[in-house]
Amino acid sequence: MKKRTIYLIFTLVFLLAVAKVFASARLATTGTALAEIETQSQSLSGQNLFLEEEILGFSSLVRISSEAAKLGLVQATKVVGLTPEIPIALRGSY
Amino acid sequence: MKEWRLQTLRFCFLVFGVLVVFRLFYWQVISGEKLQALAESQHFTSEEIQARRGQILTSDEFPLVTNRKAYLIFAQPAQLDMDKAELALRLTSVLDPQKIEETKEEILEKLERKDLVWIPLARKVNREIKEEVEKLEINGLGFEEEEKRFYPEGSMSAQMLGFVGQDLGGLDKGYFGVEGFYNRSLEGKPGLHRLEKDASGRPILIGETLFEDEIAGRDLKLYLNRGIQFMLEEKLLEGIERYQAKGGLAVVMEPKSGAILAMASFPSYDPAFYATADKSLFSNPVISQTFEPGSIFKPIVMAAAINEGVVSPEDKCSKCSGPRQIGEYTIETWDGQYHPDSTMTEILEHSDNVGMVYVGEKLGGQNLLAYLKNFGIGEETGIDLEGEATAPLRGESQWVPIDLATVSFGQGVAVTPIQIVRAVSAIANGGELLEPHVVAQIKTSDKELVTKPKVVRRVITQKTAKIITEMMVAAVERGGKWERPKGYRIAGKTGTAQIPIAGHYDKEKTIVSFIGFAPADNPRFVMLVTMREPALTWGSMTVAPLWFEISKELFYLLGIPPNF
Repeated sequence: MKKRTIYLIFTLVFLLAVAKVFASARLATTGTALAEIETQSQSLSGQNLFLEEEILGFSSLVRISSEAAKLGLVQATKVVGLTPEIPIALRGSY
Repeated sequence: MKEWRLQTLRFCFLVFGVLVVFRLFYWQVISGEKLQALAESQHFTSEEIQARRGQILTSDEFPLVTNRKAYLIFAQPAQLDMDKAELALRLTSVLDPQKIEETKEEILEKLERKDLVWIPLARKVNREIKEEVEKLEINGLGFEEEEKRFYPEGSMSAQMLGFVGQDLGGLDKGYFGVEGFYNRSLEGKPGLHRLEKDASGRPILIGETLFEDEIAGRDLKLYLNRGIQFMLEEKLLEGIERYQAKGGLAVVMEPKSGAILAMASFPSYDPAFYATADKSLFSNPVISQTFEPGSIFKPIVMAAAINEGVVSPEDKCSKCSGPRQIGEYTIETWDGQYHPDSTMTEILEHSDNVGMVYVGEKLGGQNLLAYLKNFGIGEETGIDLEGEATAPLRGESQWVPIDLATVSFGQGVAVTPIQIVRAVSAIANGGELLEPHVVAQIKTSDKELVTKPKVVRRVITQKTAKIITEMMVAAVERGGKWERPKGYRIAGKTGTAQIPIAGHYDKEKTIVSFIGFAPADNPRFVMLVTMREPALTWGSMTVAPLWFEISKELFYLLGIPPNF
């Protein structure tokens, strides 16, 4: 019985040791993967910022106005003000 | 013999043991901290994370000022494998091709320094330029990422926004305008990223890490209406060119809240290239340049007199039939025409200097001074922009009789454009003087601080404000033959002030202005437009038509329908 327990403990310790070796080996290479992911993340953030810049540049009034002028669009010379239609219920009072 | 050898061996072990203990003591206790720091620097990588500077947004949340990625170019002299002069020349041809000699000398001077192992050569360089430098394939040059300000709308409202430069320590700092006034809110707090690394510098996943998050700067949302600002700048520039003026400015403010909807001035500069701009253009003339207002000051003096009950709109001027002699000075009207028995309303319509002297005399110097102070003349308005200046009002003891006369029609007193806008806003706002504001909201990640309209004091009664408004409406409707927007009642006043030069007034050089508000019955905006030294010297011929042209667009952009 005693011998069996010692054998069991030894096997358990051995298995755990092997597992630790595998885990350590795996984690050791994860550092490289992590560095790669970080680089990728930085590159994507950079691209994102650049695209945001482009969007802002395209949606600026300075740009829209110059593009509109190139397309031959001109400012409206006459603006008509529309008053809301009087509701039917109120028309009778007129 | 054996005993002797044993004794020697024991002694050697003892000495060796003492040496080991001593060495361990040295490492652990005496040099412990130093070695620990050295080990940490080898095991850990620390990086300061710069806090993102807050954006400045217009009222439609469009970023007028935001950030873009930029690069610091540095050299490590030990790794350079090229002649320094050659390197400087190649770098300059990319960095600053227009000033090759000057920039080359600057770079060469930096590279020649023997006391540095890491030399910063150029800061805040754009991505495109960085790529060009990379193509040169120079060993020993490196790049470090940083942020720089980006202006999607170019130089729009540059003098109101200010710019971001460096302080003495080389750190970013806002100067002038919004950037300067709100620098503390915009700059944020840098963070720290500390990570354990392996021998090849890669992060260890199960190692010790420390993340101290940076606190991003707060975003500022302005009251500024982008559409109005764009239109205002375009129209103002057109006006300056049309009338061949040396410069001009325009401000649009909401009288009921003190919100600045637009603010423009020319000549201006591009904040993205502030380093090469004329430094005299950095300060915003709207808040820092004083001028003699001329006739646009008359409604304020008239409001004081009516509020004090010394005149009423229908009272007649008994001293308006000809020029007035005050001491050694003769006061004349601007057009040489005199209107005996003019009513107070007609005095404003004709912009009659002699009539205003009569009003000033009725009011008296003490009262006039008290009202000017109440209207905020001579004191800072408290606008949230860095660089506000003022010319203090002279005390009553320093006034001579001619001062009362000239101040009555707006000469001999200095104001800033924002002071006069605020004073006339008080009339438009039923008599209450407000503090002007540029920033509407200060945004953090979890809350928004909203600025509320701040009433400084009541200056005149509501009744007086209504009377003056009607008089200003009459001044617009009968004071000149301008092409006005149809269907709107507009209250306003033109002004032409001569520029004082070396103790006298130059008749050829004037500052022309128009200030007004609309719709007169429920004012949505107060606007001041001024031009410096236009070819045509009278405000009624230059700046008044421009004011109406801009107001027509304003009605449209603010969605104000015509009333009749």
